[in-house]
Amino acid sequence: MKFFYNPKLIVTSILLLIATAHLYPQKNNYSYLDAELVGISNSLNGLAFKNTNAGFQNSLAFKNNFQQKWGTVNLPQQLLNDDFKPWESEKHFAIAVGEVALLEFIPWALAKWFRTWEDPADNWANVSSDTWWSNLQKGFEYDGDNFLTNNFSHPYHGAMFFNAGRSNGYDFWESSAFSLAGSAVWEFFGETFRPSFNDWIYTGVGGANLGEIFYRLSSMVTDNRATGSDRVWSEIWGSLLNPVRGFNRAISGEMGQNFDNPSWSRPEDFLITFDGGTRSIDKDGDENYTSKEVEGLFTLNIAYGNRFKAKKPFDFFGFEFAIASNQPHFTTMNSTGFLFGYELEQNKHRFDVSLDFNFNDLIKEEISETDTVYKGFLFGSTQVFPHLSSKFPIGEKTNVVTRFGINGIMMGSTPNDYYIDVEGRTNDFGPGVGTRIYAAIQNGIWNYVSLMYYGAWIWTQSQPDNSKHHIHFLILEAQYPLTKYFSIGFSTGVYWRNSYYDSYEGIINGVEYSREASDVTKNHPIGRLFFRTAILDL
Amino acid sequence: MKKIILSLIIILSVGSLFTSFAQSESYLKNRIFVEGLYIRNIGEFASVWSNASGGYLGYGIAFPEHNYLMMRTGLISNKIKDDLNTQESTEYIDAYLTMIPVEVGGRYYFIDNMFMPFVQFMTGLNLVFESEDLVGENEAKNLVKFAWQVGLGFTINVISNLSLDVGVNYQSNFYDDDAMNTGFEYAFGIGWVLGN
Repeated sequence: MKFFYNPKLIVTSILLLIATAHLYPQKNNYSYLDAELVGISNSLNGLAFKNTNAGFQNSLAFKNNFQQKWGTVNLPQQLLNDDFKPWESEKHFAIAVGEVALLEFIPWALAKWFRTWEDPADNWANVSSDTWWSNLQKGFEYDGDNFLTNNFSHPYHGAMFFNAGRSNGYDFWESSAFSLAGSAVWEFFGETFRPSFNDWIYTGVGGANLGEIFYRLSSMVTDNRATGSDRVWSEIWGSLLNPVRGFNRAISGEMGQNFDNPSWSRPEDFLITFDGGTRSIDKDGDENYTSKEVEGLFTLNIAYGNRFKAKKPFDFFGFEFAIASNQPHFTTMNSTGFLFGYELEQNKHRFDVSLDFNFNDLIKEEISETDTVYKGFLFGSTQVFPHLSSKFPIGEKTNVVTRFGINGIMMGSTPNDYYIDVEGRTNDFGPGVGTRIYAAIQNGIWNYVSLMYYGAWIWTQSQPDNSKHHIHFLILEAQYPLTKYFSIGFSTGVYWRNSYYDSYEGIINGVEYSREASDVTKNHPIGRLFFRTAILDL
Repeated sequence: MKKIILSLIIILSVGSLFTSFAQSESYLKNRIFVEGLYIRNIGEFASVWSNASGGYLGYGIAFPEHNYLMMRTGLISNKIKDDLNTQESTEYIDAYLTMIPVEVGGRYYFIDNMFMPFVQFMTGLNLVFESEDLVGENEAKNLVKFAWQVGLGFTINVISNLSLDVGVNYQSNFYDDDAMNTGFEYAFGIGWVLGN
């Protein structure tokens, strides 16, 4: 019997069970293997089917028409399975909770049984009723994880929790409860560590932001009407973007069914642009501006939907992802998603509240034996942004667009100039408030000139506390379109920070730490040259 | 005074009985609620402040389906541990730690019926007024600290306009990094339909 209690066997069996779930016999009336259907489709090739969204069909992602290509067929309306009830049209509470439990269990099991620990006492997965009670008694703290773990890994894990709800029939708000609850359960019961408050915000709220973006994008690339290799690739891309949704589509048999795409899954407006160029940043932020760093920078920008027509959460969102040639290579991931709003004047003025996530890790910190030489240039925030959004026509297709609002920062990260945690954290955490102003002259998909100011006060809550930070970004950007889908441009700006430190004395993570009160000012001028191309414009 | 109170009770009860006949299909309605609470503190915090009592006044807005948005404020008074408040440690005799919570959150009701179990989450700020800190330094301080609470409970719809709420919550409020305000809260209250 001991054999059956082997933990490795149990985990392997569960993983096998998940894998074999994909083999669930799916009812597929229009399998791509169905030669008869291909024949029917071929006979229909000459027919002009109703084109509901011409933009999609002119894109790289969606075919020009519903004709057969590479031995595959995209089905016309007449051949769709009208009786099929999409999985997400009903709520599946037990499955959603089960998936959250599985998403907790997998990383926990890997750490518990498969990871090799130099000192077994470090194994944070050795939880017991004692550690649970200890965590409940001690309550939240701010942890010592580094910036990348806190600002990327946790939101990504939260996006999975979120999609356990979202792809089981729950709406945005309800699914946010899954990411918040999943994170809380992990923090209190999944680790021996004391629960981390910053993890809970980044996983729960950051996860909802990232999770809805993944959900929308995966819904967009998944084509329920497609068959054959088109369908296979659409399911693969959809599952890569949103593995939890892919899993649910597999176990529900949805991957093998042909039915209509939900109307919301194809936004009226969709734009992907790609930038390539160079960026210059002053590295140490002192007044001499001598330690300049020049690097290559590649940026992907996504604009989904129309902010002036948004009604439901994330009907409009923007997403920016950047890779740099110098370290840190993963340098930027910013997103903003419409939560709710009110139209003040049709297509001109709106009051909106968005959920924003900012990850900016622009200069790697360099640590000497005695101290950190450069504390890096990083800023992260999970925040809401209530703002007034306006559009003023100044030409036939040219508008001045403006946004002005308040940064309500739930969790902000900015460098601490003196402290390095034993676990790697070099930044302070805390809530904050500030303003953001944006103005641009916009023509079609291009902003000819834009100016953005972002400012915030962050009050440090993590240890060592007794500090506050006033941060500012000011960026001016200009571009000139050489062709319809290609432009060149430059941007210039500055990031400056005034950090105010009071003296501190205490024990942090078991290590005694003290500092004298001493304020710090940093100025980092930034310049960019780039070309930009619109790779998908719908 | 007694007559006024009695009259109010009669008016409210009769009104409730009449409205109960015209009851809509859902029990989930916007309500104003009053709750009394007792908190058993745990952890380091409980080594000085053993328990707390107080009350909430709040308003809940019903959303389809089964969702309930809540806002509340109140007063919570912590009680110093008995063995600290002795003749040997007289400096604690006048110690107080009072909190005014200002919170938003929500409930998810599992069923929409006369008996409605729920999960609840509340978050916001605690305005903290204290005359003693944990190490016994006599220093009056006012603080603003983050509040976080999650729990279970049930609502009983006695009549269409009146409900009883019972809940048990775990709280992990911020106070001091080494002594967070953790504990289990037991709450009992009544709700009254107000608005649609």
